[in-house]
Amino acid sequence: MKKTIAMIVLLCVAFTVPGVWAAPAKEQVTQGELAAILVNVLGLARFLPAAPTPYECAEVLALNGIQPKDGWNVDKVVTKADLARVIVLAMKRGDEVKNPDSDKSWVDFLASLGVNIDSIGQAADSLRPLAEPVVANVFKGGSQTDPLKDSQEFGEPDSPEFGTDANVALTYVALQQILQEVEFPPVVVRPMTPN
Amino acid sequence: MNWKTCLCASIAVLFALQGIVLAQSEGRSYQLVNRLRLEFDDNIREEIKGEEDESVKVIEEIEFIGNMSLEQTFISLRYKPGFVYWFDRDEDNEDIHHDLDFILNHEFTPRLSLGVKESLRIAELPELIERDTTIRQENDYTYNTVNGTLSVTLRPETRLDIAGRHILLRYDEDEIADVQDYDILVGGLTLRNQFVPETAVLAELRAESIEYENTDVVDRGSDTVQVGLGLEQMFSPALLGSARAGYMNKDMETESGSESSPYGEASLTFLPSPATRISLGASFALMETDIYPYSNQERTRFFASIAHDVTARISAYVSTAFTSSDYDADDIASGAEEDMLLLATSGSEDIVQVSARLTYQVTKSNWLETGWQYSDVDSELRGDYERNRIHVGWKVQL
Repeated sequence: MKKTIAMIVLLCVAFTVPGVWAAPAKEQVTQGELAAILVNVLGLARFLPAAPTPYECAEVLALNGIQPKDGWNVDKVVTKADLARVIVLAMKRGDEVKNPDSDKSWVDFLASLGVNIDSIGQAADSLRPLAEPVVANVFKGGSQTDPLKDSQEFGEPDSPEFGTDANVALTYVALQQILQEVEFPPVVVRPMTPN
Repeated sequence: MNWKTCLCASIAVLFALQGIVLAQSEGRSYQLVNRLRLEFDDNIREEIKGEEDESVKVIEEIEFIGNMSLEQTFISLRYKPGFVYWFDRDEDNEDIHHDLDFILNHEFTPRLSLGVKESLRIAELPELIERDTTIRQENDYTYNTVNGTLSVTLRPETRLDIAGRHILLRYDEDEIADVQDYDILVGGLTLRNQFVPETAVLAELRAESIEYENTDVVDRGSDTVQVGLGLEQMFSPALLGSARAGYMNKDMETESGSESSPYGEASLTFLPSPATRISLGASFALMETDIYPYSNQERTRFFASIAHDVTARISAYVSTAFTSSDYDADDIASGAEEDMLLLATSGSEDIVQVSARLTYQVTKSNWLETGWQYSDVDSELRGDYERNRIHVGWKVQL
């Protein structure tokens, strides 16, 4: 099985890589690409798979209250107004914008902070990882059926003493109880717990 | 490679890359967060009713996150050591945990990118002593998972992901390591097509191999293949949904030999107002289990979470999950009954989890928090227990 998995991955890489090296560069940035940049700089990438889809990026940002005026549209080209709004929201300063319905207010607010949004790279440089990422992803992680994705039962910030301990402890307590109740034949195969 | 080597290597890589970043005058970002909590725990060893031990503990965690952005590369390292002091745990008052995450994204060309994600967890757990008998010695463990995905954009709306993952779990205590240590290897292909801006459809193939370290007497390992479809849908700016479903086959060293089953999961994210976020969902699949000597469980899980900003400074979070697992006697690994002198039994287990948390942002970089976590395990295969934990804390972003 291991060899089969490795062979499939290697063959796919070998057949697909040569055809894409010479691909032309894109000139415009979509909201999906902006979302991918933001999950990285805001420290949200660790809640997502290694190569998240645009949807997954948009979802985790939306859960943290960060999205353009009309919601995430992963194919739509990013405008300056969209960029200003999501940068301010990612800075957790949305409540300081005087007129939230006006696109200009968001741009002006960023300008008043001295943040340059002439490019997405410059705008992203003004951001720091979120100190309080929303807990709403916690249980979704535990509900994954995809073995490529993390499946911890609880994540931050409510992690217990790290997830896998409870069940192990219970198993051994239960086994101990069962073994105490059973009348063993003279030769016991092996003790389940150390004395 | 042991954990110390992993840690030192990761830190060395970070500093080396930092030099490159500085030389190229590109963006960089660091963050240091300290979180201090005082917690009351009414069942510190997750014991059955009547045998609980309670304790107050202090939990101190300091989290470092370093991000580096180059023109085509993004690197992130997060390290969070945690220190726990127990006021009322006779055998051992202190635990130290380590939590390390490393992320690398590199764009070779606009159509070809690589994502690597590494997570290392090292935990100390308390020993358990009952009636002068050590039931469980210190079962410290190391858990590591590394995930790599190569993404190829075949057409503007079509992406192929070729992914691999390795998961390792190692316990320090031999008795536990003998039955729980494993290596999991996963390979996967995902073809994603964005039909319209709101809708993407995914075709997925997954192959998973689980190998337990000690297979001398009992082999709980299995090989699983999943084939299915996925859907990602943005219904409106306030409603997002995703689902995946398909068929899976699991080969095991058991009486049944193999088992086939449909699998599926679905989740919805609802944003009724800018201040409120709600997510809920459900899943069903055949999964591995840590209940020895079973090789399989049928797990159904429901979850719901709500996050609400009461004011600009006060936020409330409530999450709950219900998990129901069915265990079939036919899924007990071959050889286990003779080895353990146990009769093969089927059974089920239900787990309820609740988490509630309230935060108050005192200043731009200071938060006060309080929270409650509840677990209720009702099992036909092992001991039932309930556990409540209540904490107050202070978090500062440095």
